[in-house]
Amino acid sequence: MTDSDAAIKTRDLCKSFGKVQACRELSIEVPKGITYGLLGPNGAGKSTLIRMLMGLHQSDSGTAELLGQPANHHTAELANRVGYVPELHFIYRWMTVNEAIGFVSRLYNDWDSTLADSLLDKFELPRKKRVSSLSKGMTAKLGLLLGLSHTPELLILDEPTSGLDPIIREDFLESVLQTHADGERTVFFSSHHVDDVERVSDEVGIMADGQLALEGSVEHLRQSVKRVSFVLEDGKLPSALHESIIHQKVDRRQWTTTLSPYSPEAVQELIATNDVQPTAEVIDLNLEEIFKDVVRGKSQTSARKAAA
Amino acid sequence: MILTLIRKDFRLLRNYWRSAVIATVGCYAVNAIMITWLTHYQAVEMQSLAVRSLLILQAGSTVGNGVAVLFAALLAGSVFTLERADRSAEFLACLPPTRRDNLISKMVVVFGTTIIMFLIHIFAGVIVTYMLPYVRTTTQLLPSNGPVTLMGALSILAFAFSVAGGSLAVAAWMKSNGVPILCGLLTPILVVSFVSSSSYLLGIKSEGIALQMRMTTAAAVFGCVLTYCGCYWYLTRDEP
Repeated sequence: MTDSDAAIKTRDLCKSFGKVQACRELSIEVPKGITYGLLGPNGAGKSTLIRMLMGLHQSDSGTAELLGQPANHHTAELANRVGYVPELHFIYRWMTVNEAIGFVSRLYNDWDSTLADSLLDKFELPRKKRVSSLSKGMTAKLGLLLGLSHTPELLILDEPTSGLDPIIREDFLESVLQTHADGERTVFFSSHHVDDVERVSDEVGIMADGQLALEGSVEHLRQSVKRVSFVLEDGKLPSALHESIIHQKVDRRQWTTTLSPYSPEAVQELIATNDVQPTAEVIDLNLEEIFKDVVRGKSQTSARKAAA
Repeated sequence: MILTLIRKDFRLLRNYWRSAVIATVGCYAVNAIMITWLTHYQAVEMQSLAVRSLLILQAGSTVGNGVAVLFAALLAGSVFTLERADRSAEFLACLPPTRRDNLISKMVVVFGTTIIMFLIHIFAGVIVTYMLPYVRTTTQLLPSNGPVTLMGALSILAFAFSVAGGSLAVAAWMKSNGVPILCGLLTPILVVSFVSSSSYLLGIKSEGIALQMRMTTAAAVFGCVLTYCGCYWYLTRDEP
């Protein structure tokens, strides 16, 4: 992928807060024109990554580019091309809805008043109400309106549906898809709601422990990540592991592993090198199960490293 | 874009400049009431309406300059911190205006409001100074040479600049405005201490206009350095 094809590109991005490493050598490339969902549990580093992309945090090392420009240099040109909808909306609380829209619209070159008006009607936002008196859902919708109405090439949403009820969540995501995901513009959004990501994303990245653990389309992930269950011989434990095991669990004689990438050869190798019965059960996973196994696997790895 | 930001910053500081307007009017209104009370109820000799008017302007100007210094600290100490306190600085940071655009807008609002306040009071003092020879009075309440001289006006502006600079420099690091305002108000003490101690150490003896000039120069230099530091830290700080 050339620079001009990537909407977002990071290389070995690191960020620490004291002793806590929020991002570890994070490299990610998001092609233009797709909807990319970044999944991760709380504390995985999603918001830190997005805040570095938006120039709100400076990285300790590594590089980040948005639409081919360095992300840490806030320029008016880049801000005009990128829309940002954060998890928590800090729109001036003393402004009314109309004033907030008026204020933001005068700062952008390509503000689409027609789109803003249609979203205002669609979201049923009270024009004369102060932002401070809006509900959480209403504030989120106003944030989305402000993020969408300058028709950015790249829209970045940081857990936009967090804390919203399922109906507002659905409305919210539909609005993003209808107005923005047109194949030309890029949407990059983070969430820990697997069903939201599954519903709207062309590509999914799973972040855990400050790193990108898995990436690909939902279908590709389903094909490449599988759970394989073995039956151990009496009194035996798994002795030889395979590099493609991202998570494993032993329950009595049942040894369950999650392989990424899955391959029949890897399964045969595990059978050959461990004291297990010669048959294995291969189970297809949905995105939620893949997500959980990746996150648990990362926790196991971290615990092993800490113990070592 | 800058005009939009200036309008926003004026609204952000609306409570302060509304108070500034009330305080400015109040300086003269309270004096008017006092002088009317002295004239009518205490039978203090004021001789004419012109004398009474000049007394009101003189007292209003003197008190007003002190009030304007206080507002210089309030405005400078609040212009960065109010947006950090409610985290709207994060919202602003993702919009097209650069940090420099925001800084320009904030400086226009802080120094614009403060300078207008001072100009009103200095103008009132100038009126008294230049009208005094034309008014026949024997009252001891009016000074013989008028309250405003060029050096006096420059001194007031220089000290106000140091107060605003002190508040800005501290506010660049803070989320609340209490400490920056206090530090700003304490800056003149720092200036006076600096001039006194340096004079003592270097064995320079000065008084009268020479001392005033040294104090004014020191206050202006402190103001410049602190304002520069405040602006630099605002531009380079990891926001929010």
